[in-house]
Amino acid sequence: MTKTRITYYPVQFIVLHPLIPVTINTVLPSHIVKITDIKVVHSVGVQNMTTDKYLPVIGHLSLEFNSKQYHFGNIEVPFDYQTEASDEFLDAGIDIQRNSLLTGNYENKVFTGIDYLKADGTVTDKWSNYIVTIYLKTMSND
Amino acid sequence: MINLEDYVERQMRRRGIEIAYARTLPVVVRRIADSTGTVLSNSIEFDAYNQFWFLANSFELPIGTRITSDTNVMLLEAHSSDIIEEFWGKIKIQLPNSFTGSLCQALFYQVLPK
Repeated sequence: MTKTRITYYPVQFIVLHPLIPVTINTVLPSHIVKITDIKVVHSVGVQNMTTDKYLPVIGHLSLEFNSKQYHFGNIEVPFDYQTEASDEFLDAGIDIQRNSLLTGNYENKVFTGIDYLKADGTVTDKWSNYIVTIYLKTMSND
Repeated sequence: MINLEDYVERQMRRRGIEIAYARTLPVVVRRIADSTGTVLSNSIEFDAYNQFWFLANSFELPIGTRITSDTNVMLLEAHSSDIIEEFWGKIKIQLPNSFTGSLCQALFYQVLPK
């Protein structure tokens, strides 16, 4: 007999270049039946490029569930390096089809100036790759 | 090369969406520069809500073209006839600064769902 419980499922991606979008294309585990909440956070990297403790938007993330049948929307991803960083989740309430795709796109919006990007399109030493994590609060049948 | 109409029909069927209407639609992006060569405009933005737009001629667009929408963002890094990108919502086509021509045509397959 399976019992439904709450689990947190992280999906991570790395931003390697300020102008190149990142594509997310992954199959969610079959034991996930519902996503109740979503939170997108910067994990590591941006603090190497700025002395600011908080940037409201470092990029835009578009997320689609159930093999592109449900567009969750566009999320503004902040950089929050403060001790009192928000741990708030976004309400989702999405029933997940078994073995369906989670797809999305992330577009970086910061550090695109000449300090970080050479004329030939390559990055300078000031640019630091960074990691963004999507936390999915899920109902799981595992 | 992928047959675009077959691909779109398969995609819509998989998602349980019935196609009400579909057509091929060109979108012209103009590059406007002043007499000193300063670029005044090299992009176009339009609304395509509640419909799906599939890019049909990525191999004809200049490298560095950036197309963004509510659901997708694409940077053209290499020419390939096997890439079909899908857009929905507010679509923006931005030509690269290296493009020196006066206009560029992006060809889309527009799908209206029932």
